[in-house]
Amino acid sequence: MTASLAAAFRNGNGRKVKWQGNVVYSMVHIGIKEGDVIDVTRVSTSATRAQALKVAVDKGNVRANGVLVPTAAIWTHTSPEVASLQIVGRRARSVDIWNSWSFDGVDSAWLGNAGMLVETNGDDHLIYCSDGVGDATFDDLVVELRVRRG
Amino acid sequence: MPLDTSIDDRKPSLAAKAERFWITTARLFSSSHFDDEDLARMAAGKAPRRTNPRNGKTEAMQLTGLRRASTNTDVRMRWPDDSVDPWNAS
Repeated sequence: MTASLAAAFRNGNGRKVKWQGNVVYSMVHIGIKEGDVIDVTRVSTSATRAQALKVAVDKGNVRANGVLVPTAAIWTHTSPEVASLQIVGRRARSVDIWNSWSFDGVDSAWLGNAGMLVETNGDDHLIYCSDGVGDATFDDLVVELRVRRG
Repeated sequence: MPLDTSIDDRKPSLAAKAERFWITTARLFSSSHFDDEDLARMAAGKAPRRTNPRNGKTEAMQLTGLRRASTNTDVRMRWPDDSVDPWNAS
């Protein structure tokens, strides 16, 4: 593998690069507050390896499936097609979102040609994820993410 | 070379075992998500690294089970990560 997206992120600000005419993100930052609910709907996923979307609250937690955690991993092989995350914490202001994948049994992110294309329309975000393995394809995981304001 | 190979009757240090692990792993992972820089690090016996965009810091891959390991399959690799799968939480 030669010049990778990870190398481009290292050379830039680490979060966003212009890549073959597209803006590619290593991490998406969305403003939220307590009581908001984030619905993540899986549109399509690679059959080659498990993929995940990670959602981390800056100062607080998310409640999903009755479990309260600061960073939730929505894995394709364990989560329902529609996963709802409730924001918990009076000081919560934002969430960081990035994609991850399982390679040789290792939960991996921010390597090789990993990155996300994002189409945003208000509180609706369509996220196309490329895992780090092989060329950047942006079809390894595709999700719709909607923020329902509380 | 097995990770726990003794030389001159001296057991390898943890650092020596880690070095052997990464050198072997570099050959196995020539086609993977590791780029040329990480493959070169592993071939030199060093852990691959990544940049965490959340904090801007460089993180090295970690190994568990190295102390008792005889072969590469006895060792588990992991990246620093505090995420929890709410649908697979015990």
